[in-house]
Amino acid sequence: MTTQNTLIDVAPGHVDVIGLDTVYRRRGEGDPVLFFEGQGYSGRWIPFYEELAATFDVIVPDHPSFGETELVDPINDFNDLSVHYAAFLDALGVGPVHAVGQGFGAWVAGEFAAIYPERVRSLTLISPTGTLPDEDEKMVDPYRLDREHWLDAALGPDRDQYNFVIDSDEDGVNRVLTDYKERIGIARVAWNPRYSLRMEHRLARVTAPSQVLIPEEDKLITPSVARRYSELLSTAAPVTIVGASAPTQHLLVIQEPAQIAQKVVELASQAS
Amino acid sequence: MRDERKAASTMSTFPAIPLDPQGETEPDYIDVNGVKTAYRRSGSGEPLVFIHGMGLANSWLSSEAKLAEHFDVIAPQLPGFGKTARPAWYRTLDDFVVHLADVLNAFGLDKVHLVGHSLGGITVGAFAATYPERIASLTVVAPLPLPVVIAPELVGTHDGPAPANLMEMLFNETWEQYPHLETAGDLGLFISEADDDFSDPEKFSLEPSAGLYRRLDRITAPRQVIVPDHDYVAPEPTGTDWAHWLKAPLVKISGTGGATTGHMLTEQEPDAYVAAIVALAEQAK
Repeated sequence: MTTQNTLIDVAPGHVDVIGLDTVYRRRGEGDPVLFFEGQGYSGRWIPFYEELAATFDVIVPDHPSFGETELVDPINDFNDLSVHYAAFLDALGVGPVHAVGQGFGAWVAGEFAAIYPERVRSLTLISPTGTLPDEDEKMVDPYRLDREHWLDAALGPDRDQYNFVIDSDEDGVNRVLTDYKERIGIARVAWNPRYSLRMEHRLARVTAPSQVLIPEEDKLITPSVARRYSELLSTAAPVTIVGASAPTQHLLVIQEPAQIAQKVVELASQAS
Repeated sequence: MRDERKAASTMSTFPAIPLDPQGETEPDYIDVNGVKTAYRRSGSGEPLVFIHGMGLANSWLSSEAKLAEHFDVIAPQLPGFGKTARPAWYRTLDDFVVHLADVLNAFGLDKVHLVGHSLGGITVGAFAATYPERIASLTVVAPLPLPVVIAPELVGTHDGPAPANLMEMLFNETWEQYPHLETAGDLGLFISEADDDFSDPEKFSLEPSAGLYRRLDRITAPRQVIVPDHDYVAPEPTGTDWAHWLKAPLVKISGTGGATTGHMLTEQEPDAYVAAIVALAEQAK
């Protein structure tokens, strides 16, 4: 299904979302999946999406300040982002979705599901950020890592084999700028605090089946964050995705696309 | 889930409530996702939710009683105001938005006519922009200003200075006719006991999202902005700015007998105010 070591070229679509030209990619047929991307792989169709597209109508918007979507002044917090994605779905005429998010995107997915539970048929959070870690765990400051160190931490020692996913064909300067733009987009809503106190109270509004998937080793997010999500969502403990050849890391969607897509399919089958 | 809500909201008649401007009688209470929410409900017809401003949250006013002649009026008291304690983890006005969604769910209401006065105007605007599908019509009355942005063509059109007397600020020159509405102020500071790591009443702000003006674009239901002749609390161009971003008509309700209406036009000219809301509800049909 996935072509080895090349990315499928999926042409971006554009949709006006309350005046913001929002860029997205969409492929596949079936129930809609809205994927909330994490840092490091915006603006492309990664193998994980292609795995999902075998079962679903997969919709992947670039967040404001990710890929080709610009950041606009009125987007300041997770409420704004949640309204943005409700308006995005309305603009596409898409009803309730299976919501899937990774890293920062999982945080957005969680906030979105808490505000709009009726728009979410199932919720899959993958190596999420966004809840307050236990006191004895030290949070990594992701803004301090440059792109190379961040990728070392996010993909582990085997990172070179994923260069075809992570490295776009941009030259080095553009890559740094893209990376910087993504961080600006994250910092706009998540600089301080670096966790969501609202989700502590609001996630209980989510009624759809949910799951939390974590890697074997996450050098960026401490373990209590995912555990807290599963508590707040009243769902099973986080499920560890085991790597076929090496321990999975923070960007497990890039390392184990087929396994994770299968988890999304299984959860979707439980949804009403 | 929506169908269940519709089934639950079969029309009922709720008894008339004696006027209670000072909030001397006990309201009813409903559990809203753990927030014990005070409310009053009266009338019959299509459901209409009224959101108060600062002050008088626990009152039952003549404008509400007159609305109840046409609608099933539900007047919840926002967390922090009147008899509803605010959870200490609330941070901004957007917390009211999700709370209001839960209020509608608790009453089994899918869609309502929504009216908000002053601070309540901002609250209902933010709610409608977040959940436009739950609004049958939207009336924003003497709203507090939208944050940050004034439509460029309106800059510099401010009214003159306000009087020092609070009652005169609210009712203009005929303020002495409304002693029964004098209030010591209800500034939304009724806070529930701090109960977790995130509780910090000091960090609460009534500022809505700076991006609210842009979100208003999502609202498609019939809508209007009602303003008085001269609003000292939210002077022009506040109302005009709201009408601009809401793409809604600006409806001015003027005083009779030579007096001007002020911020509390709802009590000064309740018949004209209620007529405007009834007319908008007709459009929504």
